[in-house]
Amino acid sequence: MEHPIGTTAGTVRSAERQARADWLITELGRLAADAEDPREQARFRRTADSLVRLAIAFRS
Amino acid sequence: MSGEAARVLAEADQSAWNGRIAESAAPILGLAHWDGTLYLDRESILDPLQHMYEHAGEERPTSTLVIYRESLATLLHEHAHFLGPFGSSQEAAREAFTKPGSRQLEEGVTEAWAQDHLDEYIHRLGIDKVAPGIDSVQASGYYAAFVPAVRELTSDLESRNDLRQGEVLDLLNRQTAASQMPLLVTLVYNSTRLPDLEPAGDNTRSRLESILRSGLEHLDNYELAPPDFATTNSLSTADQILNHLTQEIQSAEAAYPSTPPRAIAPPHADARTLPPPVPTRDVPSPHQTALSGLMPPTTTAPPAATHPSPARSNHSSGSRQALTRTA
Repeated sequence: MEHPIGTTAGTVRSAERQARADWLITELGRLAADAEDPREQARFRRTADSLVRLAIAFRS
Repeated sequence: MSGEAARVLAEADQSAWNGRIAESAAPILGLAHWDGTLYLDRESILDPLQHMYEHAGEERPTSTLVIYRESLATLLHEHAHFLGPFGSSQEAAREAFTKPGSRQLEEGVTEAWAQDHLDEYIHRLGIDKVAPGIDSVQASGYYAAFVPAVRELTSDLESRNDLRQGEVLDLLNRQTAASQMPLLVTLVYNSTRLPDLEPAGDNTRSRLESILRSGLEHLDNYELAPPDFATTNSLSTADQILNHLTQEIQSAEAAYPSTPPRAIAPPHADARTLPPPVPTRDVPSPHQTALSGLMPPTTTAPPAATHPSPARSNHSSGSRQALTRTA
């Protein structure tokens, strides 16, 4: 049995999460580039790693 | 060699790593790609490891050893992402990874497990001989928004299922995203009286999964926050998840008020093999919480906002507000 409304809501939500991941990856790249502390830089980059993995998963 | 050592260390059936390592582009440090390729940053990961082997056996300053250790921590973390049981596929894992809460769970599990097993990984690869002293320096971990919550949730499950410390982390780490959440739900469900009470527990399991997913997804709010802030709120969120689970379980159990208590608990089931639902302990009194070690749920606490902004969501670690279920 299909649930068109639920499916649409789920699709919209996935699109929102994908857009959030894309925005955060860009933001984390900027933060990492601006960070002077290597630890902070690594923290931002490791966080970006996870979001890039998610972004690729959404697009595959 | 690095991938096989990680697989053996994790006691996982298989790794999806295809043996290829590619140089990543900024801002990526390490990435376990869904196609099986391992992407690593040249300057921060590959060059330090190459330098380490080029100077094998030499004494090096602590700062250099820390850099090596950071590189190896990322390497082990990424290899852990590739692990899974026999027959698991990256396609199913990839699809599951996009579901709410899955990324936070996998990232928290992978990082916590890698932190806990880094020294053993180093010893298995003989790197303590290549870089003497590397096992005596510290490299702090990452993912402060996810790791504390995952540690608290898994530690609670270990207590309630009579499993050794770290066993739930080990079990989850050798799953892909496709089976991590179902396993987590099973461990929660089997630690209650419900397997004995419900003819079919699909609805309850579904509600437990919704609580776990919405709670774990909430951790996104602390992803950019400083580590201390993220840690505090990660723990607070785990408390909220556990309270919400308690409420749900008590509500489900309350539907069977006349069920006689079991006289003798059955032999303890092997949680590692995840058998069909089997109760693992005596029936608690009606006033006991279903999840041991937790405060009973309050009836007056208002539901917390599900997606507060990071700047406005600094719940205290003692907060017991229930999460709003959204999934």
